Amino acid sequence: MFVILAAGSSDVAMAFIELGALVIGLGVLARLSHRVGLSPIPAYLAAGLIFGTGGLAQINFADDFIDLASEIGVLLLLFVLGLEYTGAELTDGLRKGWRSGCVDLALNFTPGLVAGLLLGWGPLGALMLAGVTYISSSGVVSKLLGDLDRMANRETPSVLTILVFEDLVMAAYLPVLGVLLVGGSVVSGAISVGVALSVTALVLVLAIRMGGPISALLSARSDEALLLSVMGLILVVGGLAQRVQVSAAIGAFLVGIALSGEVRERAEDLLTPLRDLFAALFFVLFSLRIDPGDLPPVLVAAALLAGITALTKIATGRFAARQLGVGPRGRDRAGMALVARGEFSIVIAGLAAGTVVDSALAPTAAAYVLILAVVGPLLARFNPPVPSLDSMRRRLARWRSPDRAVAGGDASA
Amino acid sequence: MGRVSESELPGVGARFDFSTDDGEQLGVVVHRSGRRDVAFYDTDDPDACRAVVHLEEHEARDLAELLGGSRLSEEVARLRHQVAGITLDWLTVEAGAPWAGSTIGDAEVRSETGVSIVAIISDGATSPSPGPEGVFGIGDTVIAIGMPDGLEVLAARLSG
Repeated sequence: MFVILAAGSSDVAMAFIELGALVIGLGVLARLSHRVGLSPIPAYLAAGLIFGTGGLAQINFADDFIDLASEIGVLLLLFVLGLEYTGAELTDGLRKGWRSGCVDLALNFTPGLVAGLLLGWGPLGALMLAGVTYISSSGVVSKLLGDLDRMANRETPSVLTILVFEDLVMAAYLPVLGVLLVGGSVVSGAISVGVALSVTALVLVLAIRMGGPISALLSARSDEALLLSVMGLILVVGGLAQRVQVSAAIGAFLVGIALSGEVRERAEDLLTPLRDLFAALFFVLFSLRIDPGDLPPVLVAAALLAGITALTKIATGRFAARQLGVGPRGRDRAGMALVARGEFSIVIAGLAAGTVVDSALAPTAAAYVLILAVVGPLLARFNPPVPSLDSMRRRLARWRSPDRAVAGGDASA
Repeated sequence: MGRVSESELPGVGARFDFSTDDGEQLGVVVHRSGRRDVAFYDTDDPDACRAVVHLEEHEARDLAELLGGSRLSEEVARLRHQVAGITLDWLTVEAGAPWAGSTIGDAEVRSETGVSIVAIISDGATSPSPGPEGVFGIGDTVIAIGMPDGLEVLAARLSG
């Protein structure tokens, strides 16, 4: 604010007009997306790509503010994610969901990792792409379950448990990534990763155990007081976490987990609208920074990766639902519901900005999320028949050895 | 009612299932926000729902009262058992009615009409067995019990 004021009143006027025009544009996109029943995230990304660097419009005056606002957007995205589950639900999810959680990790982390290495992005770039392909969009998925009236379905707990597990994986993944992005030697990197993980684990346990007292301390009768103190806490903890190289996002996430009871519910009501505003700025800024010219070369890779990881997510959901004894149709529904990737894939790709990671990561992630944030909800809605990974492997084996088709089929059966 | 089983829905709330003697499968999702979903499971695909009814917190309360086991329905049943030949009536308080906006005590309902006010339902919130301070708000539904002629007097005082 100070920076804007110091820059002179005509600049302030221009900054307001730019910011206002941008937010109005995002509002129109959100309205259109809701009308067709889709998440607005792909619309924000597409708009950013169309108007991005070398595209039509340039933001000159409000860029300082938008930069900071988009960082706050990341914090609020992670904070609300942390709020979503109580400490008991997280520990429960770990206990009951570890089996399907590990299947999820193996099936959806690996394709991104392999693709990153094949694309020559090095281990760090591959690790980031792995995160992008791994994490389902909990926002899109839970909205889908509500919109499609599937909350009472018997496969739904398995879907939600996968989301809880992914939450916990993020709690370990983000600090590791934060440390690795800073760089340094292997030994100092290993030590920093160890420190970051122990700090996160400690705070996580404290947050789950001490949630009551922390919430009691924050509790206030007025919404205003609660909003300001929670928002302040998010920023301070985020800043401190960034300071010790744990990544500000994970700090905000831990604040979200620590809140409980009535404070948790009110904080959710109060901060979700703020998150929507700041996160929209984050998404559009992420894609504004992408040169549209960088997009075509990565499209094929992104589409292939989207196809493969849609199938692996479906397989994950089927596995998770089968654990609960759900029938074939319910297993399909669980799989399709999980396909959508969204906000957190973009958060992960956004961390690469200004680091040594290959600059193709951002456009690839944007194209990838654009595809799956649209295809995922469509799959969930229409439930088309999708062959299982097993049957595809069998078909592939038969296709590879046409003259020994019968023997091949027997071997894999 | 058969055995009720509970499943956790992380981030949402909990689901309760039970089956009726007819073999119908029912589920109730209790959202943390207080919202309730009543689900009727499909016989072809027992994991999916044939129909889902969404209820806000106060609607769920109303439905629960209609289904019985609540204070209101117990109250009605108790009064009905006391005297034979009495009548139960549901009346709406109209704007411009003589008693619109006044309390049960001010209107001297008992001495004027001889009926008992069992409950006043306003905006979906029910106050069972209201005392003299209970108000006949415009648009409220008044549930009264008493002799037919007393109820007629009450109906006249509550209509505009």
